[in-house]
This record gives sequence, C-alpha cells and structure tokens, in this order.
Amino acid sequence: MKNTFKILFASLLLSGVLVACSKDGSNVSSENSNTGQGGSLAKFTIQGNYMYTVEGVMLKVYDVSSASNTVLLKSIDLNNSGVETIFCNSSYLFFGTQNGMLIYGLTDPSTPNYISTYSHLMSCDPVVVAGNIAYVTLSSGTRCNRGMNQLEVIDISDVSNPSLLKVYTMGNPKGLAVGGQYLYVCDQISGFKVLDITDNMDIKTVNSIDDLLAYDVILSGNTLTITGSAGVYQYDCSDPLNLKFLSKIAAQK
Amino acid sequence: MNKTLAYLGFLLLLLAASCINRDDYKRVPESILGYRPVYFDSSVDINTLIYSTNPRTVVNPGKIYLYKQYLFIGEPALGVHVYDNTVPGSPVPLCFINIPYNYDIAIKDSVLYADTYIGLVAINIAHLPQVKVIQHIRGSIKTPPLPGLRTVFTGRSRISRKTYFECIEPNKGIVVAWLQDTLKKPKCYQ
Repeated sequence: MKNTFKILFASLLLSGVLVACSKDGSNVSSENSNTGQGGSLAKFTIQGNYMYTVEGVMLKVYDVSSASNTVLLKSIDLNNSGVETIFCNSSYLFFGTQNGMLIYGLTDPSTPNYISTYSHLMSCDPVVVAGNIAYVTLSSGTRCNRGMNQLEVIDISDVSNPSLLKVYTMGNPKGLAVGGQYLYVCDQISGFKVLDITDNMDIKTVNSIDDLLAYDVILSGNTLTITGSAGVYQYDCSDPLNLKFLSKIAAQK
Repeated sequence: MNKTLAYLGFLLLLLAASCINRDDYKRVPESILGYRPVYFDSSVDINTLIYSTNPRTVVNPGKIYLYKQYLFIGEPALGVHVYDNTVPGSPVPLCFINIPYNYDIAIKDSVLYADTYIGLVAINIAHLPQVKVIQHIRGSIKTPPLPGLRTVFTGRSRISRKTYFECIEPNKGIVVAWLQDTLKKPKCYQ
C-alpha cells in the first residue's frame, strides 16, 4: 500500500516536471499550471517546484513547492561575470551572458549541472529556444559597447557542443520570442520585427512595425505583449503577417 | 565553538584593518564625502516596506510578466504596476505594488517572488489589489561591497583616495546598502 502511494506520488511529481516546461519555446510553464510567463530579459524563471534566479554571478535555486516556506537550496557560481538572462525549456537552463550562452542541465532540477558554453564576441544578449535551435540576439549598448548587432542561430541538438548555423545582421536587437514558424524580435531603434524561421538558413523579415521601439516581448497564445520606453503595447498575432494593434499603456515621463 | 572563534577573529581583523589609528585620524578632514551603511533591522515589519497602493502612472516601463488575467509591468527600483488584462484590448489598472529596489519577479500559485534590497521576498497576490508579504527569504541577504576607491583626476595625474565610511554597528541590523553622504570626520576607511 505504502509503495503504491510512493509510486503514485513519484509519477505525479514526474508528470508535474514534464508539464512544467513549454513546448513552443516561450518562457512559460504548461497552460494548466499556475506559473506565470516572463519576457526574454527575465532573470527569474520558475519550473515545476523550483525557481531559478540570476543574482550577480550566482545562479540560485529555490524550492517553491510550498507557498509559505520558500527555501534557498543552492547558490551556484556561473563563473561568468556578465550573466543577463535566463531561459528554460523542459530539460535545460540557457543563460544569456555578455560573452556567450551557457547551458546547464536539469536532470536533477534541484542541482543544475554545467554542460557547455557557446562563446561569441563581447555583447549583450538574451536567448530563446525552440526545439533544437537557440536564437540569440547580440546588441551594442552602453554596458557592452563593443557589441555586434545581430541574430545568431545556434544548433543545440548536441547540447554539449552547440554550433553556429548562421548569423543575421540586425539593427539593435534585444528581447525576442518564438512561436511556431515565427520569431518576434525587438530591434529597438529599428522597430519591432516578425521573422519567418521556417528555414533557419534563410530567415526572412516578413513584417515590421517601424515606430514600435521595444526591448522585450512575451508571446502568450495569440497576444504579443511588448515593452519599450514609451509604454507597453499589445498586439494580436493570430496572423503574424498582419499584426493587429490592441492597446497601449503609455509611459508618462 | 571553533567556528565562532574563527568568525570573531575575522571580525576583529576586519575592524583592525578598517579603523584609523590615532595619528591618521588627525588627518581625516572635518567633512568628507563617504558612505553611510543602510541597515535592515529584522524587527521591522516588512509589510511597511512592501505594500499595495492605488494605480500609478507608468514612468519607466521595465520587465513585463503575465500571470492568469494579470499583466505586471516593472517600474525599475520602485515596484510593479498591476493591470487586469482580461481583455488585452483594454487593460485596466488595478494597483501598484511598492517593492523597494525591485527589478525582477516571477509568480507561482498566487505567490509573487520579487528581488529587493533585502533579498528575495514572497508576496501573496491571491486577493489583488490586496497584497501581503508571506516570507522574507533571509538566505539571500548579503552585505554589498563598499563602493570602490575614489579616483580623483588632478591635471596630469590620477590619485586614488581612501573610501571613508561610517563604521558598521552590528547591533543596528544587517547592512543592505551604502548611501553616499557627507561624513563628519569618519572613523573608518578602506
């Protein structure tokens, strides 16, 4: 009897872990779970019963299974000074850093283990992942003024050995989101862009809103929530080639 | 026991290293720019620091976060704006959650986790616009390093000067930040 319970509990836990991560590559847990969704510039992410945060150079792992008793489980030195963003798919954590992308495994979700580093020139960059492909934007900015402005498409089918597929020149790309065959990129001064990623070796800009100066985006269902210095915008993207304006919460300086 | 002794020894060493001996103290100016420690006293009710107010105007939109029908917009260093986003075509302002030094949030089961100057806090948002701090996760508090040496440019040369600070009084709580201020003959430097 006891064993039956154990097995039940274990399978429940397991199914929890399985549904906790997204299928479509957005920073989100399953639709049924009660976890929210952040943008690509997030430094916090919750997966199942664990929250992962980047605090300075440290990755911190919190047990958030109990609402009233959150416990700091681990502080892991990422050995990288410029960690800017964190992204999770079902099995891995991806860190956007100023000199590359770090991949950690979640075989034991309480103890992420280092797997590999994909290095590039000094730059600022978030990362999103869909299937076996990681999309990384690199942008020049005040803190990383030697940076390039480009989108890198990286094959991560072998996570221990990520390899660059192709580089695309961009304006000043920052936050991004991926859904289906489209990649949404906040290209800051160059506007908001919709890229067709059907063929990763031949990514094309298929739509853009030039006067939408944004730095991060969340894709949730058919809604894009976009943040920029002028405010927060929402667009309907059921047809990515024809984005429909929904609302703007204007910032007042 | 040995650990305690070692810790005490370390503290003494730190004090010895950072305090000025009598001869040097004479040379400390009457008034000099330095740093004052900001303490967090654990007896303070954290709900007086983190609380919900009427909606405020968005000034500097920071990071965004979606949870259920809500849209959260960070106001860097000040807190988060909460909107009812049931209809994304017309988000309705609900409240502003005042969270000092907040930049990032994440939410699970109506618990909002936020970074603050005193570390991570867990806030109950099940009854918005009301909020209540559930827990202050103390493991995450750390004393920030004192801002670096002051470098002064004088014509052709660069002179690095000592950083003066008001000596830490451990009975006041944990140092969570350093505030730049004009100090009167400070006794500590680095």
